[in-house]
Formats: sequence, structure tokens, C-alpha cells
Amino acid sequence: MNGADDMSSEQDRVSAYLGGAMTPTEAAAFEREIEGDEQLAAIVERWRRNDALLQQAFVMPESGGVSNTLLDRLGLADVPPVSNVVALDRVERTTPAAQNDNPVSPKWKWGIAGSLAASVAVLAAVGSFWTAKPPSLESDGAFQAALNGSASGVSVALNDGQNLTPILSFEAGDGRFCREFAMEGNAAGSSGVACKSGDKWQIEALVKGAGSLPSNDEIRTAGGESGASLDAAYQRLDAGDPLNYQKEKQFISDGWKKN
Amino acid sequence: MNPAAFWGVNVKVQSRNGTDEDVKPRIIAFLPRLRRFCLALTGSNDRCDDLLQETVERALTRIEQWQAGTSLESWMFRIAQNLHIDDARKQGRRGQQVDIEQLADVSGEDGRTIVEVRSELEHAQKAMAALPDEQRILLALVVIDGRSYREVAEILELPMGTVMSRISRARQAIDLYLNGKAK
Repeated sequence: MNGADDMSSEQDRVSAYLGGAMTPTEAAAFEREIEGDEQLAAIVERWRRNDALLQQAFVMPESGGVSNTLLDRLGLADVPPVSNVVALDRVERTTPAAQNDNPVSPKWKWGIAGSLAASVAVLAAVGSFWTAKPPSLESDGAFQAALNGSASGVSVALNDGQNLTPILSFEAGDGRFCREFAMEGNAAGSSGVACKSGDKWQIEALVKGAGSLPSNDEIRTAGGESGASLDAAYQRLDAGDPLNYQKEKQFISDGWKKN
Repeated sequence: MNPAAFWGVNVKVQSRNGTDEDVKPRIIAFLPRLRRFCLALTGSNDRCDDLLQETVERALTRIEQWQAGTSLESWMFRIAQNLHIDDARKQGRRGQQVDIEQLADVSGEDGRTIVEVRSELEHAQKAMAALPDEQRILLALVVIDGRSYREVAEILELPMGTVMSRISRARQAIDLYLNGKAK
């Protein structure tokens, strides 16, 4: 961090740590300090929960876009929307419980995930498949904040007209929490899986497609194309069953930390 | 100004490479983030959309003041912040109008869950509303919009030390409001 002298108090350091304002070296040293200081650890966890709560408290009802009525009021109704928000509106009307409270099934992975991906309008066609991490996306604070604080099914606007919708959450075989997400925005949409390592969500797989969004009436069958493309990532991660709504809510509140 | 004045009109600026760019699609793409910022500042859906409208109008009518090659989004955040502060000064510090109906489309397995979640989120909204403007603006950018401290310092043209100390104080105040703890 540029200005360690400014971190005059414990609270300042906690705030800087949560805000990503420390250098990796400073953050690592601070994490070691947290491990040995219960009181400090309690503050970090409490403030992390506060952040998550604030993020959820200010999710807009139309987080996937802005209504035509408002665009009209702003004098922008004549400009074609950059993103198609129709399908994402469908997401927001779907209850998180309905999306996440799946009966536990050993065969959930693409039976469930494929249906969920379809119901929240992932891609109609799949283009390229990346396993390399796109650093620009991972380093986007809004991307990190969306995966930290948004419940599955709730869209969050990122930069440059992109919207991210967490699809489901699960625990990987190595103990990390992971989330499948869909992105839709200016150009082609994409879907992917990110896992939380330390304080950062790292993209494990990303499928980019150039297809159009399905209509609201279209229900894609389980094991759709995007699901199939992410299947290798799910297998590699040894994904467990998806978290139900209550568990996901708890882990969001806890900053995706296990007690 | 009547927003209809902008209908059918391309608001173009010259980019660094000399080509004309219509900024309206960029503004539309940015609206969800800007609107969320406005809600965090005002705490009320009606006032949020009023501020959003004022901000967009100000940006479109003074687009020549935006320097192509710099961040349009940062410039508009700054406009919204200044308009909000100006409005607060004119009106005097009004009581916050926290609008529970503006909460996220939260639902749960039963009514109790909905009430609990809404209550938590309403409390968080009130905590945000209780902050001084200078802290609420910074927290909205860092925690809600996910901007880095350095980006916020650039957007608001503040020294990094000021950003850090204000956010730290804001987090302490939020913690006190939500958990009854100052530390």
C-alpha cells in the first residue's frame, strides 16, 4: 500500500485490507497477524459481513438494465440498448430459493446446472472455451464484489455495460467455494466458474459464446451446450452439491469463510 | 431541461484518434451502475431517479467539458456527487427516505425469511443513510461499486490518505450502526 504511515489505527488497516489497498506483501503479513489475533480476526469478519450486507442492500430492482420508461425520462429512449435485459429480468423474478434449493442428487451437476443455466438465460450457442484466466475481469472490483455479495439469480451491473448473474454456488473438492456465473453485456455473453482463493475470486473456466439469448419462453434441457463445456471444469474441481439458499446466504454473510 | 431535446440527437465527441464517438450508448451502458450509486447517495428511489436524470442531463448538455480519453464514468460519478451535495445544501439536511420497496427482489422459503432478509437490508440501508455525505459517497464507490481506493481518489480528486481515512471512519460508523460496536 502506498502510505503505510496513513494506517494509523487497527481500523484503518482492516479497512485498507478489505478495500484491497494493501500490497500483496502487506496483505500476507496482515493475514498472518489476523491468524494470531482473535480480536482482530473478529473485526475483519464483522466488517466483511457489513460490506456484503451493504452490497445486497443496494441491488437495484432492475439491476440488469434500465426500463424503457426511465430511458424515456432521461431522453435516451431512442438509443438501442447495449445489452438485452429481457432475459435477465426473468432472473430477477425468480426467487433465490427456487434456484438454489435443489434436492440433493448425486447427478445434479448438469441435470440441475444445465436447467439453471437455461432458466437464467445463459448462451444459446457456445463459442470459444478458455481455461486461461482473464486478468482484466478478475481484477475488476465489481466482478469480485458481485461474486462476494450477490445471491444466485440476482444480476449485478459491472463495468462497460456487462451484467453478472451468479447461477449457483458449491464447494470444490479442495475446500474452496466456487460459483458458476453468467455474464451478458455489450458483445457476446459468457458463462464461467470462479473459485475463491484467499480473498480473491479466481476464474477457473470461462465459456464465451456469440449466440443470442433465448426467449423467455424457451426452456433449455439439462446438459445444454454451455453446461457441457463447463463440465470438464466441474469434474476437475470435484464439485460438490450446490449450496441451498440458506447456506449460500450464510456464506455470503460470512465472506465465504468457513467458521 | 426537457430530456426530449436529446431524442434522435447523437451527442458526439472527438476521441483521441480523431474519430467521432456518440456517447449516448456509453451512458446507457453505464446507467445501472450510476443508478445504484444514486440510490446509495439518496436512500430513496424517487430521489435517486431525480438525481440520475439531473446527472444525465448535465452530462449531455456539458459534454464538451468531458475530456475524451479520460473516464466518462468517473466524470459522471463526479457530476452526480456534486449535484447531490448541492441539493443537500439547498434543502438543508433532510431526513433520509429509506424506501423498503426498493430493496432487492429478495425472496425466501417462507414469509419469515423474507421479513428477516428485508429487515437486515433495510437496516443496512439506514446505516448507509446515517453516514455524512462525504463518507457515504466514498463507501458507495468502494463497497457497492467495487472501485479501488486509487480509482476513487481519481474520481473524486481527493488525496489517497483522505480516501483511506474517510472509508475507515465510514466502516466504523456502519459497524456501530449494524452491530453496536465501534471496534
